[in-house]
Amino acid sequence: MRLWALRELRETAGRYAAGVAVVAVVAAFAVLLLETIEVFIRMLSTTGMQDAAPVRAALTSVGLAFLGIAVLTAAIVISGTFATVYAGRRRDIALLRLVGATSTQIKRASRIDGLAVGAAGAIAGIAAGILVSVAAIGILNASFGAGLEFAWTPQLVIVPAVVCLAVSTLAASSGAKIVARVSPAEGARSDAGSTQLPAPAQRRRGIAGIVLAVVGSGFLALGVIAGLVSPFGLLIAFPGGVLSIVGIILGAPAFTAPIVGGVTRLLGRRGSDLLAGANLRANPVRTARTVVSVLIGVTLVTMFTVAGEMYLAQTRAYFGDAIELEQVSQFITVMLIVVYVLTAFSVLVAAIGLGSNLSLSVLQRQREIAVLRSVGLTARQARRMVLVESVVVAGIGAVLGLLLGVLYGFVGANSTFGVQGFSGPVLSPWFVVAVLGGAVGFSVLASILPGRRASRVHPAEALRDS
Amino acid sequence: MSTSAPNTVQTRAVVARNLTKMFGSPESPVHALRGVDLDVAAGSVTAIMGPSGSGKSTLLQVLAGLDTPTSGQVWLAEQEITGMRDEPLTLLRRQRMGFVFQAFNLLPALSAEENIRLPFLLAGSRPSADDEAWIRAVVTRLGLTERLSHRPHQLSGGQQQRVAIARALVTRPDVIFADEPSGALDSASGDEVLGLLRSASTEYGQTVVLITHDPRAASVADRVILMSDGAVIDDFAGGTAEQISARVSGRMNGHGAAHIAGIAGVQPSGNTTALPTSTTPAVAE
Ligand SMILES: Nc1ncnc2c1ncn2[C@@H]1O[C@H](COP(=O)(O)OP(=O)(O)OP(=O)(O)O)[C@@H](O)[C@H]1O
Ligand SMILES: [Mg+2]
Repeated sequence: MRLWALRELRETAGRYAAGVAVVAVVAAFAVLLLETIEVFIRMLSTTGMQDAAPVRAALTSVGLAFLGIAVLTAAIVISGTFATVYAGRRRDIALLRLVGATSTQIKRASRIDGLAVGAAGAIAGIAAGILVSVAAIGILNASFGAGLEFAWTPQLVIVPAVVCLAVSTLAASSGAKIVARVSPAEGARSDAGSTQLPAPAQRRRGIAGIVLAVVGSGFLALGVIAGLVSPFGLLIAFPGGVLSIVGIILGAPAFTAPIVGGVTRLLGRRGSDLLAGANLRANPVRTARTVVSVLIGVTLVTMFTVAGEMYLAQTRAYFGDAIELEQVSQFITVMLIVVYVLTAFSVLVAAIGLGSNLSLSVLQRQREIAVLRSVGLTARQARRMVLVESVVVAGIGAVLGLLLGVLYGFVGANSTFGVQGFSGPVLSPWFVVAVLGGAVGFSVLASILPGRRASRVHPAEALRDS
Repeated sequence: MSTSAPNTVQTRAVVARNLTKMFGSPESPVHALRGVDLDVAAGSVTAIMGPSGSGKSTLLQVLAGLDTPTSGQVWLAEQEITGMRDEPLTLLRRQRMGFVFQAFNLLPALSAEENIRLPFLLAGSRPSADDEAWIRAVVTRLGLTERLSHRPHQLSGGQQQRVAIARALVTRPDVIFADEPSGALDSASGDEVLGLLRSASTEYGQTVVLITHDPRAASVADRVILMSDGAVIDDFAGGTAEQISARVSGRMNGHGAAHIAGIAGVQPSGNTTALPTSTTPAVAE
């Protein structure tokens, strides 16, 4: 069993590239975060600050919150990657079951993958994080004579390593959950059929998702109400945000399927577009996974932007005085930039998720694409098919993400400074345009490589593999 | 640019000259085809037989433009397809060729009806009233009327193959290529699939080239081509399953490959001298 797992891992290593990249981004982010805090604290103590402990605690908790967001995003992306890779191996796994492998053995094999991806990503990410830190300190010293020093602590390695290994093994085993249940009979069937969760499991997920989303929304509402009297409303709203987003992710196929169905039916009558629509509809779970990775990135950015703009608007109303207003808005703008930088890592993770889902889905459809090519799909049509899939998914993810982001931003703002007066959500149309444009632009880019791969499927070779 | 096909007597749907195909590295090449010449008469059914690894699938894929030969030329009617660019070649496949493979012919994301209409869907064109009538006729003839809304995984193997054949027929292609179309089916469904391919030729005048291991399947053909080790070693007018089987095993024995003669469904009997070696090709050269 272990032998099989290792060989599969070696032969299909490319499919885990996205997983490794995601883990590496998270590891690098953790290193940068810890190092920045450490250097900042040491700088404070040299300037004569007596007790840095409260500052350290505050910075660390903010840092951990953002690291947590990145880790959550990574977990979703990686488990999606694993689930997709395993779904593609369904037949092999069924064959193994047929010749006597137990489902425990299959799950154990998936842990090997998880550890491998986690370790590879952690090593690459920690190394990159330390290199970037050293370089950044060097640049700061050279250009501002900052006199900073690289602050070495064991946490710099321990925290990212533990986080990464934990995330990727958990993600691998959750991804393998579906296939461990594969029945041996499937190996004997000629047609692998669909790669869906069995209906009851799907329904359980949907129900769990709805429950979490409802409970989470309750907390969100409570947070807003509490925020009217105390700035600690956020402490109630925050768990509500986490619960509801997890619920939405779990139940995603249930609500993305009808949206995807509606949108894809609006596509024109071009062959490539009709095929793209059929592909997206035929595999609602895979489609939902891709939508979710876009949704998370857009939700995060929108949430902070809306909260920030609401705070700005409120501050503007509060201070009549122009000079003070100037200072405060500058402060908020700087804060927003810092927040964007911190969020950028999660957005990057989400972007990798979109790209990897697309290319995995092309990889796993080689034979289908070969059949299409043999009955007359041109190379250009193959590229366009992948492009349309990418744009539709990213567009839906971006719109849903905007809606959710506005909701979370609104709740976040009111639960924190609702005491100063309840306010409605603020969203500049430019931001909406930028987000939609960005999502579409990125989805076009993300589709280039998988599209090219699809257009180069060699019909004779792909059909021979059957 | 393209040379015209060498002249022969009858109208030919497919012509191949001196086809070779090599796989693998130059140091250890696998010769899948070693100089194959072939003329397929329009409207005929040709069966390609031969042991596993003899190059049948490779030949079919090269004839259909799914793969490029290492050397040699292929014509579809008067059009040379070797050296054609990918886009026009793809359109040619869409319009003038049909395919039925052993398994995995259908797109799991599409219903049976969408699979059947795939060539029209790819062309982005609405079938004409005439096409529509034809599609209905094909669907009825293949007994698929009740199954149109089903997805492939809801169909039996035989039904899936019938859908594939319907797809190969709806565009009224010049040539239908089939690689072991009944290989994955029980003998009743297999016979039915072969009967359908036969009638595509008899009733609709289409050219069929099919690969099979089974002499019974080959008995629907007007002509049988026997391959061994990348070359055509026999070429004769079809007959009953028994006749074909006897001739094939005779040839294979004569070819010094007694152990693989079993593929013809008949154990080598030792009477290697019984059959004449000269052949009467269905198309004069
Ligand atoms: N992509 C490839 N790379 C290397 N060798 C190949 C490749 N495709 C085919 N071959 C070799 O070419 C030869 C002919 O293969 P082909 O698939 O045409 O045989 P076949 O007659 O169809 O066999 P079967 O009856 O088993 O389907 C075989 O020796 C095979 O191993
Ligand atoms: Mg073959």
